Amino acid sequence: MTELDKKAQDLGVDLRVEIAGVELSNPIMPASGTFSPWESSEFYDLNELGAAVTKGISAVPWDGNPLPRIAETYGGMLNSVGLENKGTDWYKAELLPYLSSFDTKIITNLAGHSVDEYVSAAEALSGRDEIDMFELNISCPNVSQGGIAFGTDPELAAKVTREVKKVIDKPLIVKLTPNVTDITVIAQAVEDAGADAVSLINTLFGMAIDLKRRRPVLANIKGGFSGPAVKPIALRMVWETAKAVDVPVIGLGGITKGTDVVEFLAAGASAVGIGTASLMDPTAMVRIKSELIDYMHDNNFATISGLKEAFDF
Amino acid sequence: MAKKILEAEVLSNEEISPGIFRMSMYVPEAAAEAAAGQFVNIYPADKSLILPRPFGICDANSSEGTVDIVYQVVGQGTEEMSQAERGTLYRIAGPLGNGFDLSVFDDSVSGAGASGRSAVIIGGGVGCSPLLFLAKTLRKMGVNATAVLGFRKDKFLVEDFRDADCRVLVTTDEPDESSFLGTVVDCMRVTELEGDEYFACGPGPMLKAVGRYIKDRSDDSHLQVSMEERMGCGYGVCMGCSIDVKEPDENGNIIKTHRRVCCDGPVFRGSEVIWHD
Repeated sequence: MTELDKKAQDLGVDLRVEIAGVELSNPIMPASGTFSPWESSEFYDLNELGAAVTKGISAVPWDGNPLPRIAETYGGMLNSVGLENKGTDWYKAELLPYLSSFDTKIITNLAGHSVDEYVSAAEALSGRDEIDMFELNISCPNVSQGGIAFGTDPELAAKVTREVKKVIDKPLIVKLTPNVTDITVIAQAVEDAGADAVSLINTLFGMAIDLKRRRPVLANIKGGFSGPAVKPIALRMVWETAKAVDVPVIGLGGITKGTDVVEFLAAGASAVGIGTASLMDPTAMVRIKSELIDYMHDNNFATISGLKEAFDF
Repeated sequence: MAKKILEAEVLSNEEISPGIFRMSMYVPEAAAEAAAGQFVNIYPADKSLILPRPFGICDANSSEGTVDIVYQVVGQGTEEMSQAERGTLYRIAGPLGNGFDLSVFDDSVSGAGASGRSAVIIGGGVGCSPLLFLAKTLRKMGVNATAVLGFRKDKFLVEDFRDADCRVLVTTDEPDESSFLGTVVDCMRVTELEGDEYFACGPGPMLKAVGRYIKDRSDDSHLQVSMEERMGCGYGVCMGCSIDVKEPDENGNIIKTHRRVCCDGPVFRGSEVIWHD
């Protein structure tokens, strides 16, 4: 038993949640792209995580975008990494054997430029028992084809969801972009197409300008905006989506502390993703988990479902 | 779980040249582990600044528990740091990254031993900072070290390199009786400076010029460069600082691949780096 699971048990707090038939020991998981098992485990015990969501993986390696890829903004940041990754062969040979040595669920985030590429990545990994769930990234703002193009069109979003579902034998989470007029339309489209859960929000389109160099800070000009500054938008979209679909919602966007998690659960999320907070503090996820336990104990909540029921609006 | 977020107490924070500060911190766990070429991440106190700031370690003293950094005020984070008074507490992570590879001077590895062998240290501006820790380390090993330090106008840390018993050549754009006019590469060319191993840290264009110069004259696998890129996390999860490098594949063909400056570097071989314009 981990240090924090022991603490929860001692305080009479049960953190377990279920997403699409998969039981997680607690609702805390990394947001894809802000976690690497080797480097993250140098700072904390990965067994503390409800699930480990890995960085977007494509059928073949991707180079990503030119540098600079990172810009800090007030209370947030922009990234234009562009899903640099080493491909599914590496994922099977290196990442899965290492990550599966930990006692946490594995959620594999899939990337592609086209329906065929998403399907190829999914096919390459289907049948690997270490994987508990897949997450379909149709919301990356930093790739020129694919990514967000799928997440902003309900028909395309449904199509890629349907095609990927055909080749995998594990639950599928579809990760949604906030860069749409009405996120519930996309959420309902992917639910109808067979998505077992949705996660939101991915990053918002943003931009920053360097006045000294008289050019955009990011080499790619635009990037994905994340961090504490986006939390109200994320929370609003989680609330809207949770009301609009029956499948579980994984909420993410600007969570940096235990009470932020409570707000997302209150808004209708079944679990939460922690992203930029892990850049602000490499140990953020375990700190947030500990704070959630404290909150639940202090407010006499024994279970996550009990906590959620207390927020009735 | 070998790494932690540590609390560092500012012991001193002096402006050693216009806009350039040297901060000494009491942080014994980091001081005990620090190696030349590694860096520390400092998390600003201002909550609107969310990302850590990486700084090469200028000096570390394990018996006194101190880590020193030298930084230039370039934005809000370093502006905040420049105001920090003695006793200020900062959250830091470190030491991070891989330092300089000194095995070439290690008896047991090279068989040649350190004494009588020579290192050339090439620094530009605030990039001289981590090279001071390197110079001290090399001198303790008995390696002869020559430092070529380039500055625009105002010089700093030069006496520290001399105190470390290092031969020092200084270049500036406005030369005086103690410095050459020109770039560090001009200085190396004029003085025909050579060594068994070369170490460089400084602005991108300087590193590229040094890389070309060493490659043209000898073997750039004996050049170690400390690279700088804008980082996100500073510990290897975000891929913000991933640079192009070349390496042999399993068949010995040279292929392009990527390395993260923060955790695969920041030190790379000149022969690995793909220099961009």
